[in-house]
Amino acid sequence: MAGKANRFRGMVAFKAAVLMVSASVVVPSVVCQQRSTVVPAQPIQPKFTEITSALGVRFQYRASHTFRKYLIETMGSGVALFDYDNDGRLDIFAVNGALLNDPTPRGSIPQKAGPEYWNRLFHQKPEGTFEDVTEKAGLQGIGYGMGVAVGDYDNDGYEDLYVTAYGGNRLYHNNGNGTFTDVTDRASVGGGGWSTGAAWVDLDNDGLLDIVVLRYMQWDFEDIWCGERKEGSRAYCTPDVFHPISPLVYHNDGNGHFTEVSQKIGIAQAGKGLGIAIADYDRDGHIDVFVANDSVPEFLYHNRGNGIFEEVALPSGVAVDGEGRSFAGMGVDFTDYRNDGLPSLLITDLATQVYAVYQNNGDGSFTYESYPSGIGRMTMTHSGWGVRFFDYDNDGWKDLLIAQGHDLDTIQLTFPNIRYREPMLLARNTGKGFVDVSGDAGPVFQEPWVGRGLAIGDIDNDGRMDAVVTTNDGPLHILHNDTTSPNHWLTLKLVGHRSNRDAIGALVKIVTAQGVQFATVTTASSYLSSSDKRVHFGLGLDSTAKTIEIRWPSGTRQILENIRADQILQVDEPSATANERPRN
Amino acid sequence: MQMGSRPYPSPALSFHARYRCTLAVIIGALAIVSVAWAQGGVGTLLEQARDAEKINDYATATRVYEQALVLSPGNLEVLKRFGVLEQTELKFDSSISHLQQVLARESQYSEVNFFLGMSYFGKGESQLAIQSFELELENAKPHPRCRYYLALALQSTGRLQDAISQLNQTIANNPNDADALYELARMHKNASLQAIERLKTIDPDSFQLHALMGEVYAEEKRYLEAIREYRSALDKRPNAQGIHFSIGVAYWAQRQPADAQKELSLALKENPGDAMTNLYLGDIAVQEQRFQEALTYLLVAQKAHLEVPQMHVLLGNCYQALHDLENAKAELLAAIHADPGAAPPHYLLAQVYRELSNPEASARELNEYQSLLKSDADKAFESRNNSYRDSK
Repeated sequence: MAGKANRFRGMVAFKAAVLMVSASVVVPSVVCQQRSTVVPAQPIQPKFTEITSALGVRFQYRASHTFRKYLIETMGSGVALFDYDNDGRLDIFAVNGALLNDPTPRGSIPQKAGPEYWNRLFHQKPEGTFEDVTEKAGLQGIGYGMGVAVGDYDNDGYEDLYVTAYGGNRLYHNNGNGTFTDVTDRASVGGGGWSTGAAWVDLDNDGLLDIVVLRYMQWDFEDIWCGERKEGSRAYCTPDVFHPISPLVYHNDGNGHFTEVSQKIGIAQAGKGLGIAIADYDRDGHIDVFVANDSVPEFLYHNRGNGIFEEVALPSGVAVDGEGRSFAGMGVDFTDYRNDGLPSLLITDLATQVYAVYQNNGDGSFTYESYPSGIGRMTMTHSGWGVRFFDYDNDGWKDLLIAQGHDLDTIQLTFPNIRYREPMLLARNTGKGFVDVSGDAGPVFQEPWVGRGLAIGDIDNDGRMDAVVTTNDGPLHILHNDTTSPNHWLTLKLVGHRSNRDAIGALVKIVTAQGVQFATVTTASSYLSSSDKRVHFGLGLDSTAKTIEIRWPSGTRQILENIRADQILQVDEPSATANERPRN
Repeated sequence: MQMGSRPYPSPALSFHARYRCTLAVIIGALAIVSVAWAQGGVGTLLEQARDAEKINDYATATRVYEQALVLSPGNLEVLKRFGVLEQTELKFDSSISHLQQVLARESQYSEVNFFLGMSYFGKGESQLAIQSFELELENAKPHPRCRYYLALALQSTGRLQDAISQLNQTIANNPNDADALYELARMHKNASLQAIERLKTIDPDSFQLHALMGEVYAEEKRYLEAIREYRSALDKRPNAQGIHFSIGVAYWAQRQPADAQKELSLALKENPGDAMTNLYLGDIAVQEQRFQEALTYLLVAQKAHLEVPQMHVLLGNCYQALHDLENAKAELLAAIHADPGAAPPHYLLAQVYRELSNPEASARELNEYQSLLKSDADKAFESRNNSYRDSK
C-alpha cells in the first residue's frame, strides 16, 4: 500500500520520569468520582480505511454451514491484537472453525480437517505489513474455535494465548522465540463443553493472572428443526431451547498449573455466556466481572475482596433491560465513557432489542440509559457482537465501534427491515451522548458484513486506534484509522512487577487542562476477542498530561506528572524489592 | 398455494362429509323419539331398521322400512325415517318424495323441513333448500343445525350477507360452534377477496384498493408492502382519516420508532382523543424513556378503559421514572392482576418497592420475577423437546 509505511511510526517506549508514591502515603485517590470537565469538541470527520489485503493478511473464517443448521455455525470467532514478540508492533491472531459433517453425529468434536481451518497468527513486520507465521509458531489449533484471550500468565514478559472452542480449550505458552507450546494438559485448563469468551484477570490479587472461561449452553449436535417446516425456512434454533451452563474459573497456582475454582469463589451461575468484561465498578479496589448472557439475565459478579464473588446483576439493575426483559447479550464493554470515574456498561444484542447501556450511579446500582444515551434509537434494527469504547478522534471522549450482523441468515423472511449482513457502527461520544457517524466514516462503513469478533489497538503506533474485525464465514478485516485531527494522544504500556506483568486490572486516571479521564487495563471485553492491553487516551488540544495516576492491582499508587503527549509510554510498576515480585 | 387454487374445498365437494357427520347427530336424536314410538309391529320394525343403520347396513334398513310401510301405510315417522335413510344414501329424489308425503299430512312435523332442506341442498337445489330451512326455523324447536345449513345454502346462492347473518345467530346461540366459526371466517375472507376483485375492476389504482391492500399486508405482517400501499392511498386522498395511524402502527411493528412516532403524531392531529393512537405514542415514549411525554399520552388512552395489561406496565414505568411511586405501585399491581404470568411487571415493582424503602417486598418481587423467568425457560425447553420429537 503506497504511503502506508510512511504513516507508521516506530513505537517510542520511554521509561517515564516517575514520581512514585508508596501505598502508605496519602494522595488524591484515583478512584474519586468526579464529572469530567472535558469540553465536548467540535466534531471531527472520522475516516477509516480497509487495508487488510494491502497489509498481506488473508484469513477466511470457516463456519461450515450445513443443511441442518447447527447453532454453532452462527457464532463466528474472535480475534486478538497483541505483541507476541515484544517488537513494539501489534500482531494478529485469528480463530477459525472446523469441518462439520452434515449430519454431524451426537457427541462429535469437530476437527480442523486442513489448513483452511487453522487458526492463524500474523506477525507484523517492521514496515507494517504482516506475514503468516502460524506453522512456525505452532498455533494451528484444534477443534471448532471460538474465542481468544491474551495474557502473560507466567509473568515472563511474553504474551500467552488461551483459545476457546467447542469440545475443549487450549493454553499456548509463548516461548519468547516466536514459538508457542501447548501446555493445556499440564496446566489443567482444557475445560469442556462449549466455551466462548474468556478473560485473564487476577481475581485474588496474588500477582498471577487467573482465567474466567464462559460457556454458552448445554448443547450437542442434534437434528432439531427450528423455524417453519417448509423448504428454505429452516432456521437456527434460539438459545431458549437449550439449558444454560456454568462457567469455568481457573486459579493460577503459580507453578504452571491451574485449579478450577468456580464454585469455590462464587463465579458459578449457570448462564449462556458469550461476552466478558472486567472493571472495578464500585471502586473498592477489587476487580469485578461482568458476563453478557444470551437470552437470559446478565451477570455481574461483585468481588467482595476476600476472594469470593457474589452475583448482583438483578439488584444492581444490569440483569435485564429497563422494562424487565432479558435480551440476547453478545458482546460487552465495561468502561468509563462518561469520564466520571465510574465504569458503565454497553452490551450488544439482537435487532429489536436495542443495545443495552447501563450508567453507573456510583452507589453500586446502574440505570438503564439506552435511549437517553442515543444508543437505543440508533440500534433498534441492528444486531451487535464485538464492541469496544475507543477514542477514534482523540478528543478525550471514548467513542464506540461495533461489529454487526444478525445471527439468522433467514431473518429477512420474517423481518424484511432487518438484515443478516450489516455495516459496522461507529458512534461518536459528544460528551452528552452518542451520535451515529458511520455514514461519514468512509466506504468501509457501507459494506454489509456478518460481523462478529472485534479487537481494538493502535496497529501502526500512530496514536490513532485501529480495529480488526472477524466475520462469520467471511474474511477478517483490518480498519485503519485515517482520521485527521489536531488532537493529541497518549498511550501507556503498563508493566507490572508486584502486580501481574500485564497490569490487567490497573486503573489509570489522567488529568489534562481539559479534564479527567479513566481507563482500566484489560485485554478482555468485546465478543470472543482480545484487544491491545495498552491504554490509549485522546487528549484533545492538550499537549501535556498534568498528572497520570495509576492504581496497580497490588494496591500501589503511582503518580506521573507533566507527561508530554503523542507518545507511547512504558510505565513500570514501582517495586520494593525484586523478591516481592511474584514469579512462576 | 398456486394462483387460482381454492383455499378450501367447495360446499359441493364437502357436502358428503358434512352430511355424514350431521346424520350421526340425527340418528341419535331419532333414537330418542323412537323410544316412545316403538310399539306394536311398526315399533319393532323401526327398532330393527335403526339397528341396521347403526352398522351401516342400509339395504336391510331399506327393506325394514318398506315392510313397515306395508304394515302401516302413510305412517309419518316411517316416512320420515325412510326419507332420512335415502338422503344418507344420496337418493335425494326418493328422499324428497317421502319427506314431502310427511309434510303434506303435517306441515310442521318435527325436523322434516330440515331434512327436506338437506336433501334439496344435497341435490343442488339451494333455493328450495332455503325455503325448507326457513320453514323449519318457524318451528318452536327447530333442528339445532338448521340455521348453519341455511347459511351454507344462502352462501351458495350468493347471498353472502344473509349467510353471515345466519352464522352470527348460530354463534350467538353457541359461541363455541367450531363449524360455524370456520364457515364465518371463510365467508368473510371470500367476501374480502370478492370486494378486492371488484375494486380492482373499478379502478386498480384507487384510494380504497390501496388502503384495503395495506390492511391485508399488515395482517400478514408484510409491513413494508403495507406501508407502500398506505402511502399510495394517501397520495390519492391526502386527508384520508386513519391512514397515518395505520402507517404508524406498521412502523411500530417494524421497530422503527422514529417513523412510527411521526405518523402517529399526524394521526393524533386527526383525532386527538383516540385511545389507540395515544397508547402507541405512549409506548414509544416509554421505550425511549421520555416519561413525562409518555404519561400525557397514556392518561388519554386510560380514559378509554382499554383492556390492555401493557398499558398498566407503561403507566407504572412512567410513574416510577417520575418518582410518583404510589401510583407506580398501583399500576404495576394492576398489570400483575391483569396478566399474572408476565414477569416484567414484577421486576419493575421490585424497583418501586426498593425506592419505597421496602426491601422485603422488593426481594419478594424479584424472587417472583426470577421464578416466572424460570418457568418461561422451562416451557421453552419443553417446546424444544416436542419439536425434537416431531422431527423424529
